[in-house]
Amino acid sequence: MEILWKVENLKKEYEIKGEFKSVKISALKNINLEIYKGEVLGLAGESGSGKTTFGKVLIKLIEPDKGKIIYKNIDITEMPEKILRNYRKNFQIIFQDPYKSLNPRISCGFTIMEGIKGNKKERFEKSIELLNLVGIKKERFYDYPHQFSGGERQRIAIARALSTEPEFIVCDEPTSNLDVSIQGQILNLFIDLKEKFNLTYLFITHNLKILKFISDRIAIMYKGEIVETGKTEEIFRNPKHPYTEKLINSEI
Amino acid sequence: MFLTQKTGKMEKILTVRNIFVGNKEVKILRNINFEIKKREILSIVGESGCGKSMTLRTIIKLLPKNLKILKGEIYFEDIKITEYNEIGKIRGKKIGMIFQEPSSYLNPLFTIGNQIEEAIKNNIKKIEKKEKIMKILQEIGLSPDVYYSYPHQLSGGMQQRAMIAMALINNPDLLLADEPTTALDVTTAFGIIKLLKNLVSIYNLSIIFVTHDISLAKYISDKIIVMYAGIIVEKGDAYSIYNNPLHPYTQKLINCLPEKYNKREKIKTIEGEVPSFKNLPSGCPFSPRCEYKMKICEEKIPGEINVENRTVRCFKYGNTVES
Repeated sequence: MEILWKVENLKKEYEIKGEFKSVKISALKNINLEIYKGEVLGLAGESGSGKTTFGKVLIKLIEPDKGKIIYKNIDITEMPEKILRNYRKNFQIIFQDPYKSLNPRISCGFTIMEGIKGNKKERFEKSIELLNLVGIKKERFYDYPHQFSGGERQRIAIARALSTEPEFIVCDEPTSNLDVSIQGQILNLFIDLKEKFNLTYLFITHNLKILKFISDRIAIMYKGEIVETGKTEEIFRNPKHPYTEKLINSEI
Repeated sequence: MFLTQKTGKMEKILTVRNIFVGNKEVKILRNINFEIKKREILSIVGESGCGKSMTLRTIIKLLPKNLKILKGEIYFEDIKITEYNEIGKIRGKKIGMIFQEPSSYLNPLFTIGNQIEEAIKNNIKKIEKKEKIMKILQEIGLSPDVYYSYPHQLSGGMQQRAMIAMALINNPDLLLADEPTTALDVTTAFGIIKLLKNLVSIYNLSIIFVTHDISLAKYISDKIIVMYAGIIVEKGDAYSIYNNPLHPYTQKLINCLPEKYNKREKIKTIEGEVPSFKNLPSGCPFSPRCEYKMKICEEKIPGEINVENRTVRCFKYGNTVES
């Protein structure tokens, strides 16, 4: 299988500045991971273990302190932003809270149009096509985010992510703020899109049932480290790290 | 144990009868009927905005200012708590409550010990109070140091445990839990759930547990109530509701769970959306999304029908109409 992402010895520290002293917290300690093309890699771990930080560092929304990020055999760690821009359209992110991730002052259609290249007519047509793809009627093109429900907003966020025709999407707990019935719809959409566009996902979630449902492989994070990776079934059947075991045993 | 003597019989502890809540424009709850017995865990399940938290708030009369109890009565043991000011004698003493986000209900300026002490309602000496708190902290699985810590020094799970300690300090008969584990991690949440289950026998407690996760409800509770748009669509024992749901909504809700499917199989979801309270359909509120919809469903609200071992509101099972 083709390796899409390769991460070597990735480190990231945050400094929390206090009045008298500042404390350093390592969000990522020495991460090594490979993501293959066309797979869904589930990333699980407790809150504060660095899952989201990893997702953001991977697509260089945050600069890492040390280590290498290799995308399709190209080292993008030190790449200047000007050159990196050419690659940026290939990877996208969908955030947890659709109430915060959409600009409240831009109508949903224009939010999607922003990422598309071409003349105005092409962009308009493409964005309607994308809205249609995620299941939102084209009459709602000019509606603003507050006019949509949580599930619909997440659909718009997905359409926006797709607007640059990416091949890799970081899904940062995209369903944890949604109701069960809406969660099902969004999961369906993710799976349809994956098949249609041959996408690769890094699916961050702490919901074990979703993890089992959607991912081919799982990586477990604990206190800034990836403690275990493996095939989904393998990890659920035979967890090796004590934290993984604890996590899997807490499934209800 | 500092428990007072309580009878172990399966007696009714709370009876909710024909409760309507709302104001002139909207009705948030319509004809809510249920009861809970001693040492029983009852779960209220539903999607957001179905009125499950409002049901809890109605019981302890913590409704928002613009909402009122329009009709119906609630009895706690024999006391009619819908009557004026009766709840003041019970709230916090006989009925405890815990909330979704513990950090927003704890005062950041006071130690946990201080805050729990404040909740003690009967007049005892300060040293006795401390003893009592230490004992409860231990039972809840917190170290005695927590007595002297401030909320920000504790993790989410520990904060939730502190909230539980606060709710249980007066030895209540009933604990209302409003999604106590949603904001927590999977492993911590599991700890809290196990704790709540144990507390039932230690404290002779009944729990009303509000959640949107029906599989969690099945795990923790004896009985489940499924709510949709302010009415109870189905109630019965947890096992049979989860394994053999009767109401179309419950059936579809359970069918939405990813654990019911193989890997990446198409999930059968519920078409449409939860109606808003401002424009509810005139008949059964689920009728626009229901595949078994009949003519009568659009016109009248179904009444409670006893099928097998539970109560369902659906015209599929009989023609009782809500009066």
